[in-house]
Amino acid sequence: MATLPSFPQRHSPTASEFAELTDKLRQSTNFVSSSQVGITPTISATTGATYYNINQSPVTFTKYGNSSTGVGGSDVFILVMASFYVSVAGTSVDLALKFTSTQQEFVAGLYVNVANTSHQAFGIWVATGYPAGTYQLYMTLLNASATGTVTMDNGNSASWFVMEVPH
Amino acid sequence: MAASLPALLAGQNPNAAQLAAILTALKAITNWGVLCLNGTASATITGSSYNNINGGTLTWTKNGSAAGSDVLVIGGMSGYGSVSTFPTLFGVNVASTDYDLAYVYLNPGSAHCSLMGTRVLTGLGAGSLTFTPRAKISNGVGTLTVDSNDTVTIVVAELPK
Repeated sequence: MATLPSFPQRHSPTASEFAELTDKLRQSTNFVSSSQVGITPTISATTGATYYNINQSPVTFTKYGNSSTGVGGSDVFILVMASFYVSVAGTSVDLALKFTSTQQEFVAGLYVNVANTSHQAFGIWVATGYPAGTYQLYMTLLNASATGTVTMDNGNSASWFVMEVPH
Repeated sequence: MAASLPALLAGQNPNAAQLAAILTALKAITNWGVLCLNGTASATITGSSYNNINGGTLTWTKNGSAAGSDVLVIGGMSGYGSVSTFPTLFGVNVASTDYDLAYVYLNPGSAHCSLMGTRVLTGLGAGSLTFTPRAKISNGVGTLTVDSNDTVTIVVAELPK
């Protein structure tokens, strides 16, 4: 929950107090999203070491708050959902949101018991500790079991959104 | 994208227009609508065109103009196909336009599966909007059924620019 300035009776808010309010409002209205109905080109995830980008073009997200846990800082709320199928029964599939080439947030996982049958996974996460700045976001797919192939094709869909949550 | 808000200078008292911009953004971010049909939705759908899922619609008022705000939609459904390898699309109809939300092949026939998706709708004007849950079969083969064992959900929120 955001920390907001308190205004004593008969106190005219100062410019900095208003600035704090508008900063938090700006962050609270800061959403980006991506939606793909039918995944092209087809994604075939085999190795357990590689996260595959699901959206082929990045989605630009500008974070206004800093990485602190106090006033001035903000977190990032993430919701992801995607459908896919596996070639080998008993395959673990992970969905993540990639902020930079070295920073990803795991959001959802599904253990798929049945092969060659589409399933959908979805998850919610709040990412902390990211500094203010501009990020190129990708939703990513991992074949966590590294067995067989996890496929997303034109019979599947993937969508996600993020929003900034001020402290 | 975040809302455009006034920059307030040191020693400056906000004017009425600046305060109005702040209040407009506040009103928008608290403007959410929810439809949840838990066991009360029904549909028997054939063909490759969108058809309504019965049981309810979501009526919601958008405060901002088309240039002033967009609409975030999160929606999902469950159901089953009459045949295996059943390509199912779920979407919403708003202002006479269908918007795709999710696409899943329901592989086992006669087995309930769920699908959900999210997207941002742009270009919708201010005023009352009705969101109708819809579904279709991509290849037009077989029948999609939604019954008392299924759930249909739509959530909308206003995103000020």
